[in-house]
Amino acid sequence: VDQRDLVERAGRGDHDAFAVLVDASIARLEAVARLILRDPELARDAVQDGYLRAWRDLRGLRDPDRFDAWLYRQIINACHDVGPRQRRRAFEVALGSTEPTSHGDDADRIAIHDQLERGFRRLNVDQRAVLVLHYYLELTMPELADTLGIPLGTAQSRLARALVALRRAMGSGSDLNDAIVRQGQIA
Amino acid sequence: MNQPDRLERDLTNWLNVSAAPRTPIYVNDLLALTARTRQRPAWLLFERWLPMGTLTLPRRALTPLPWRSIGLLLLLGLLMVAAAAIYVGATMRAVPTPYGVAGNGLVAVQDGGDILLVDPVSGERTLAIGGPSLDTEPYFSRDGTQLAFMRQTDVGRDLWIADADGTNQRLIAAGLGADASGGQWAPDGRSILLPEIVDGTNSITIVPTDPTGEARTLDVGMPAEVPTWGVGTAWRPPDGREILFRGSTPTGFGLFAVRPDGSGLRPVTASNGVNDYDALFYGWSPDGSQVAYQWRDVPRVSKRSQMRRP
Repeated sequence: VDQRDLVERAGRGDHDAFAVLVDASIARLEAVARLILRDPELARDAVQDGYLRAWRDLRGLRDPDRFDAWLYRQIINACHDVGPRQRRRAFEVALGSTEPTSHGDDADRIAIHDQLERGFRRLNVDQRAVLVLHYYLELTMPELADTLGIPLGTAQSRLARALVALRRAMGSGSDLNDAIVRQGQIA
Repeated sequence: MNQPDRLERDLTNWLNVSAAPRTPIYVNDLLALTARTRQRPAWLLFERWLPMGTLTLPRRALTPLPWRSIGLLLLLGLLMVAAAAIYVGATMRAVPTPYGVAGNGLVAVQDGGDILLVDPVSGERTLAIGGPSLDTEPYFSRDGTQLAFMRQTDVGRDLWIADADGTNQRLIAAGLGADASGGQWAPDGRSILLPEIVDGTNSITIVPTDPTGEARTLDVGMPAEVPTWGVGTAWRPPDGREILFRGSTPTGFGLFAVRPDGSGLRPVTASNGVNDYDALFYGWSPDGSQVAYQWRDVPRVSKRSQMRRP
């Protein structure tokens, strides 16, 4: 069964078809929400909210072939909505990845990841979202623009500004960061 | 596209390491939740009416609403409205319903120069206005809290008011002619409309119930009569914004309405009658929208829409 057919059936109220779509996408989108929000509980809220919106408003999707971009947008919007709750919650720090890291990790990589984690947390949800969509989901710039519903030029400048913000947020307190900042070129 | 720099490479690597995509354990709860949720019809969805290319939801471009400020403003507004309502309510004098079903009450009657209050059920009689004076023509205000009556003196007739039980008597008009009779309380109880003959002409006098006020005769440019009997009141319900009277014109008798301040004179009947009994009995309907009047010997009802406007 192709996705278009599933989307059309789900749009007609076929919840089983919607369940198939959820199963096929939820792992990826849950990861996206977790990356953007940096909080598993908030990510869970955002994913549930996003899928609930998707189901409720699916009949508003006119082109079933654009379901993926539309679904991404529901999740991103849900992240925007739950993001402010972060300020009202205790700050949570992950003690480490639950997944085994590659054997090639070295001290530099751990340090860089630590710097990225700290810098990424200082970005706002907009900036995190554009970075995650482009560097994790590997959306092209047109896809990114389509997903965010903004012109291509705006998407490019938004990504560039997010990168600049990340460099600044990572600070310059270490030689490592200095090296990253010096070497970094905006795509 | 330029080649990714080190930061971008590190970022990509870090995101992939951090992501660790996995199907969350709450997926069944989520599906149960969506299964219980009704889909919205397409026509209700904003997106359905726009081209997909402009299906943007630039939420970040929207300025967040200052809900706290809005809430405070609403609260402040409600407080101001409540304060205004309390102020207006405290300064307004309650206007009683001038018509409609009312509870049984005492009946004021004159008896030998005194005013008595009679319980129509038990027949019990209570003296309200007594003494050596000759007191007659008692009638209650619309809300039943005040009582008006005439007191005969050596030089004429005086108009008095008192509380409903006869106490707190106040003189509001003195030296009235013998023809001054059959007053009607205004709906708000602040004045009494009194027909009398002024300089040989039938006239309408409005007497404030405030003893410091001054009585004045309405100048309507014609002899004006207000019936002391009949089917209704001269004050237009429910607020007395007009007074209905029978005017005598060179072409005959007709009904007219005028505001209590003497302005806005207008004919009510479409034509005048030459018979002395024309429009002799009349009154407003309870809602003030119609006037019932008598024309020769045929009772008529004139709808307001049929009234001739000035």
